[in-house]
Amino acid sequence: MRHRLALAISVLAIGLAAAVYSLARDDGFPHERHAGLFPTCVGCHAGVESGDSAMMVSITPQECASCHDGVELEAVEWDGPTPEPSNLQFSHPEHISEIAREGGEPLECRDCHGIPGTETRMAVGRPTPEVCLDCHAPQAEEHYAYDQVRCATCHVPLTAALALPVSDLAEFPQPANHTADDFLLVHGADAVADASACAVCHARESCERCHLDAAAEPAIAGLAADERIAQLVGGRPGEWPEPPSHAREDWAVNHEGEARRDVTVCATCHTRESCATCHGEGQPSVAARLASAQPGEPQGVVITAAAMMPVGHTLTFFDRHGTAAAIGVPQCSACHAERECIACHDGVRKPSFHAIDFVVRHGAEAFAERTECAACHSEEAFCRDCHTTLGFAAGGRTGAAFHDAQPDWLLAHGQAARQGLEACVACHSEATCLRCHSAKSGFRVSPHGPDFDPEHVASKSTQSCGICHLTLPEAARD
Amino acid sequence: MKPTPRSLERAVLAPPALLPLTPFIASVALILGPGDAGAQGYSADVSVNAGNFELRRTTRDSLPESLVSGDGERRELEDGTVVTCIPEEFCRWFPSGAVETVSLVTEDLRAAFWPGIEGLAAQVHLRARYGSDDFWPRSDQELEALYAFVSYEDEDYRVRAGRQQRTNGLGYYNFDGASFLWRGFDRVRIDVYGGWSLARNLNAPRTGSLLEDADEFAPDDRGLIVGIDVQGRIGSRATGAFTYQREIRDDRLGLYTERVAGDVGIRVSRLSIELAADYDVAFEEFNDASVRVSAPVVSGVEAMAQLRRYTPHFELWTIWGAFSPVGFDETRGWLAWSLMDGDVRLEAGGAYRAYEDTDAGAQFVGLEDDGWRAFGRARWTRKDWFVDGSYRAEEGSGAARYGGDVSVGRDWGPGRYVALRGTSSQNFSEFRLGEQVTAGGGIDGAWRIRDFALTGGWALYRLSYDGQPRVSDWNQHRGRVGISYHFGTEPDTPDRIGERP
Repeated sequence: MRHRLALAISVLAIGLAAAVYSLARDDGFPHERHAGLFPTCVGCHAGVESGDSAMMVSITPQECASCHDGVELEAVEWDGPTPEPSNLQFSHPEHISEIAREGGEPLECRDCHGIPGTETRMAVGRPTPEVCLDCHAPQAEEHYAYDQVRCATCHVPLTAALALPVSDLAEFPQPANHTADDFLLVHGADAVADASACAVCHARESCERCHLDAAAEPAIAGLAADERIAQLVGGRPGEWPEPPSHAREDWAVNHEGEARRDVTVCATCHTRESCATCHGEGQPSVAARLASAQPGEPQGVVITAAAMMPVGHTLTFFDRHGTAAAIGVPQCSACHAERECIACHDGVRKPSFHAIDFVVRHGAEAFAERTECAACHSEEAFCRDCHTTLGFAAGGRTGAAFHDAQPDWLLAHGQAARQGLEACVACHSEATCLRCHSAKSGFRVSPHGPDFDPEHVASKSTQSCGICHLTLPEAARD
Repeated sequence: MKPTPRSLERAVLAPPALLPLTPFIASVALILGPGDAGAQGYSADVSVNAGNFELRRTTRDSLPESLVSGDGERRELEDGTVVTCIPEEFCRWFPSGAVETVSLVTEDLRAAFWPGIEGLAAQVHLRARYGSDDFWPRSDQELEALYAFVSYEDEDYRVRAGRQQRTNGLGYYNFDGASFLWRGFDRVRIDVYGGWSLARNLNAPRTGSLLEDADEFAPDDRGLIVGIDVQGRIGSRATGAFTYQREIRDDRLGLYTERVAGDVGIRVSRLSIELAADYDVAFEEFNDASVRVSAPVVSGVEAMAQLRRYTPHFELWTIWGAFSPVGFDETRGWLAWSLMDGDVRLEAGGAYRAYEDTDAGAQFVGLEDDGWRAFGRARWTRKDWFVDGSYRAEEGSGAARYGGDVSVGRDWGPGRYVALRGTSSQNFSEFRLGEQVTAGGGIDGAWRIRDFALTGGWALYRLSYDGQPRVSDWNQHRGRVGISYHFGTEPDTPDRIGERP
């Protein structure tokens, strides 16, 4: 059984190979079988060296019938090659004269028409693209190696090959680079550099399927329209792959600047409605430079993740989002990954978060709690650590030595502390205050305000009570 | 001040740092195990940032009290220096010290791994510091794991285990533990979490050396954290969020914190209204509460008004909450105008705040019990170029400042810019004599070359002092440079805004 299967596969493979070989040779006329009859090519293809048609055949069916009379030889019905629609452009005389001009050896017909691997003079057929590439792109690895081969050398624009039916267009092969994962993202540069190459297979409708700004793109506007392509791409949805820039961690907060720099980049995939999804009525002015989505036309990228978009993300939200976050707007994480915040707020990786001379100016901002320092910094292990090293932290006796602008500092410090206790903590540890404000020792001055509820605090934790008090409040003892 | 470099390799091996890495190490083992190699992937970037700058400490000096003329505690030296005297002992003051140079280097590794099982991933961010560790805060913290967790995501839920970063209405609270996010409901997300809490903004246990070194009464027990975040959309024009979080001592003897946060955003026609508050359950007071209304006034002009109440929050392991800190009420206004097709942008705003009665101090002392600020800014951008100028004035309890900044630069896109900056400001303290004037400028920039990103900057400032005779003027240099390298594929970020389905 296994042998029979192997035999069947072998036969099938040989049959396929033979079919491919015969297709490659087949131009409708068995040249090799007539090798002894026709000593020269131009006997039948008279005028090919000076004429303008590669298909020129001077022999007639009557001349064939003079041998194939049904008596001596089998009668045949052959009325010459049938012209096939093509988008090739080729001229025998131009090739011959070009080579002569360059001083090259005159071309033999077999040089182009000879079937590779054969020696027989009349073993000829239609040249393969590789034959053209031998001279026109000698380094090219294959016919569709787009970056090595200029398509327009041998092909006319699609819109000039009017005889090609839609079915042929649909079967056009893809150059290898078109299958690359990022081709849609990078093809623009090639199109701008050599639009004639695109025009061999594409018409304006090919681009309009995805490019919302097709009319404004010179490379696209320069392409002719073609009803056959319109028929082929009609109904196919556009494709808008996500550029790498959109995956950047700072994209959500920085994309407006990118748009302002060159909105035409956005306009390829986005309409004004893309912005409106998140920005609503308060969308940035740059959005007005985008086209508006039209019914029946490609709609571009449809942004749907903004279903959770919080209100208030208006024109100026980015500039005030710090305050919003600091005062407690917790739904940021519904749409933003933590790393997006860190990308900007990380003082190590992005030192520009604070102004360049922030160290010398931060005092007033810290007192005013314009942004909450404690949201990012530990008051004990960051602020106080630095202030201690700089010599600001308290030590030794109490007094007005450091707070020299307030002669009556001991009388003033209570108000100052209650108003800006976070600032005090940035320099003073608890021991400083406990010299006077402990119930265990010192002056035993109570630090508690009139609304302080010791029982309630003790019911939550007695740790801090025990620092100053020998006995705990009633609630704690229970 | 002698730099004490430590290698990242040594730091990684520090035993305390390994605990939070356990889930991450386990995930790497899982990833490297047998599996569908075709679907595996990783993404990582490493960066090194170095800074070098000059500073000058405040020192102490004194003279025997008998050598200083005058009477009383407060006297003046011949050059006008105000000193504080203790009878029959000494008089002291705080002159400036010598200029010193400080350096700091940080190394970061951020990585994400996908083992090939759909939905499963591991992420880690490690940071090592070294340099002048006797000066710069936390530079003696050899290694910090900002996060290191394993996560599994399904369409309706997400589970994470390990060290996690939590950002919500209460600020940053990181912890070692697990979280479960349910997003299967149409308009609501529910995220519950719990584990061992970390000292806020330190990525280290409360019982770690960072707090212990900084505070005589540092916590003596680790904390446990539990919390829930609920976020959702209310109708078509409102969103809301609610957070409850409780941190208790590991021995259950008390709380470290118990807080609630909530906010609602509503859009009414062209108005955006935001209500936000966070409440300290332990001290029964609002730490922050605000109402903000913003709206486009006319085309290109937006206005915002806000009422805010702020009271500082202190954790229960400190005594500070028992000192009855008072808050302030603040009113803010803000206007932004975009013109010339967005090329020019003008902003102006201001705020006024008034503190509660403190029931402390003496009337005649006359400390500030309110404050105000105002600012204006103009920014012009054209193609790659930008010019930015701003001025800000601020006065109030504790300190005051008046100053402006200007920047001129060229921005070639993400990660590529060069800018010249200038600044000038006057700074005053309500509690310290003298005025500090800072003027200077610098250059900074960044450039991205394929997967490498370079950053750098240098600035020179002139710091002048008036009213403090023994604090001399000086020039300060500040410089920094950084490089990062990214490799691997981009991490999967399904929650990103703008993500297409």
